[in-house]
Amino acid sequence: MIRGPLALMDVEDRLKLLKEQYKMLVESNNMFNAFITIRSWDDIYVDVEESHGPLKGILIPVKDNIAVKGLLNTCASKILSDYISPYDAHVIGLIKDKGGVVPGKTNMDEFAMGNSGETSYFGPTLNPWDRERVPGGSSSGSAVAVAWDGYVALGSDTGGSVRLPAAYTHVLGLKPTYGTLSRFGLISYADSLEQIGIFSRYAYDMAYLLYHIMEYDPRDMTMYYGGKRDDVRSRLKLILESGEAAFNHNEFKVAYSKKLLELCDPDIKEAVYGAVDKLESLGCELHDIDLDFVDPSLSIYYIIAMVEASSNLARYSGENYGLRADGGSYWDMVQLTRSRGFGPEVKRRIIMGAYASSKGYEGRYYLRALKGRRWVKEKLNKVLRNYDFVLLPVSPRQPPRLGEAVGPKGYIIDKFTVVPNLTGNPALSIPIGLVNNLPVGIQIIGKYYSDPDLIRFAMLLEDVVYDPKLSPRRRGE
Amino acid sequence: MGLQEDLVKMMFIVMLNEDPKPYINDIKEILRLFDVLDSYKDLFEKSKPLYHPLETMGLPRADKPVDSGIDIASITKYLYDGYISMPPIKGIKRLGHEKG
Repeated sequence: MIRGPLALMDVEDRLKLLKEQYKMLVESNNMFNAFITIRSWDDIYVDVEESHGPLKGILIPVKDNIAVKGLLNTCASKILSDYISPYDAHVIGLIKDKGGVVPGKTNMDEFAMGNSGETSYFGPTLNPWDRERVPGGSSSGSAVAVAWDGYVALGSDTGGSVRLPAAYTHVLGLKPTYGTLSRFGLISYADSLEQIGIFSRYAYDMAYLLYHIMEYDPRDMTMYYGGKRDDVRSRLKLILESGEAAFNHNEFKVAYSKKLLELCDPDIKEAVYGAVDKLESLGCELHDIDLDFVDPSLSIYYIIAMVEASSNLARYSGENYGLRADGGSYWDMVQLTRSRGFGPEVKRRIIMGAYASSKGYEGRYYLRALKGRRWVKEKLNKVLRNYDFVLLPVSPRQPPRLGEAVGPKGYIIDKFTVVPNLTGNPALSIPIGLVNNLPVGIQIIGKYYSDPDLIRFAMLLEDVVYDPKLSPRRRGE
Repeated sequence: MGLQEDLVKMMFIVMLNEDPKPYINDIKEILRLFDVLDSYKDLFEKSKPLYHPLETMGLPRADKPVDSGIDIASITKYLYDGYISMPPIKGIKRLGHEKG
């Protein structure tokens, strides 16, 4: 039973809920294939007993592309299906140092390439609201673990991989400003686009976890540091100390686009307009403006993501770790290993990434996409000079049925989520209720380093626009 | 599709018991998505390429090398004279041996 943010409970109350937390995670695995590795209760209990710090008593499931020492780190791929990480990612080190415990590694699209949770070598994750539909991806298992009466989980977001499954399962999903969280220990797919992200039921839990895992890591040269980092942390601390948003609704000025809403299915459009009306009635200022940079972003994103994937995944050759196939010569071995180890979606992206950056084509594809990326960044941030947030739907449609969104035909679902990955801005997916008994979400994109503002905006909407206690497990109660 | 075949070889990936037809259709669909940018050619031309969202390219790591505490030799399957050795490949004789 959900009783409010875990972070607001004292340790004794959290410990009373520990077994319940674990039971929910096991259920989410048994019913929806949410985990690739789930640890035994005995092991977890020993870790919790021995832990000390502000995260004590909180179980934090982690996506299987983030390294946790001693646990399988498969990226949901056959090629890494027996790879055990010898080290902790920076964020995992911080979680452990502060008393948190990782109960298991969650299912995902293979190497985070997919938006449905279906390309995993370990089988698809199912949506807890409707088992015949996808929960969204690529961080499918983490989202399902939180939706099924869980509290918090970690995922990664390359083009919407936290925000989309959050919207499809009715939880909050944050992609922080690029450089907020260390990527040390996050297995790369497209490193200039991806960030570790947080799923949570309550905005307060999200602020709490972000505050504790955003410490500077000198091993990640793309982290920002100095004044901006301190400022973000002190604003998060302010939220945590006040325990509530403590701000007025009418201080927020939000831009959205009616033209883009026309691209959504009618049910989504209606739900988003409903949310817009509600925000206005709360005192927020909403303005319909032209967000023309959204249109080319999907093509720009896929070109850049595939080019970076073809480079990042070159390391899986059978030589150093992971699967090794028997081949005649060295080159035969490499070819067979990669051909047997990667699934179809990963192969497609590697080949097309190599194509887009190959001599004679890079000017037309990769270089043009990089120029477009700057154009999008400048356009978005020009809008954000006059507005606090840009509001977009998370997805133009409701969760597809299994099999409907695998491969290129499903890429369109990422249309609204890829923009902040191209630009590095923070973005938060907020549920706005159920339509046809399926969850719908909106996404707000903020200025650089405005992560605390996104979270307090979600706090304002809690219990007003969405019910954080709403859960597929307790439907009808 | 000549270039595609070259790339498949270059990326060390081959089709294994897979029907190539849907694969080729998928690739055509991806190319159509890429080609959307043709209509933005003039608009983007004046922009400089942006490789990284925060433009922090070419910075060295700020940490200093430390002993990780991991005994590499104990988790390495193939060693030769105290050094990590390339695993054996069928048909090729190499220095090194499997531990224990």
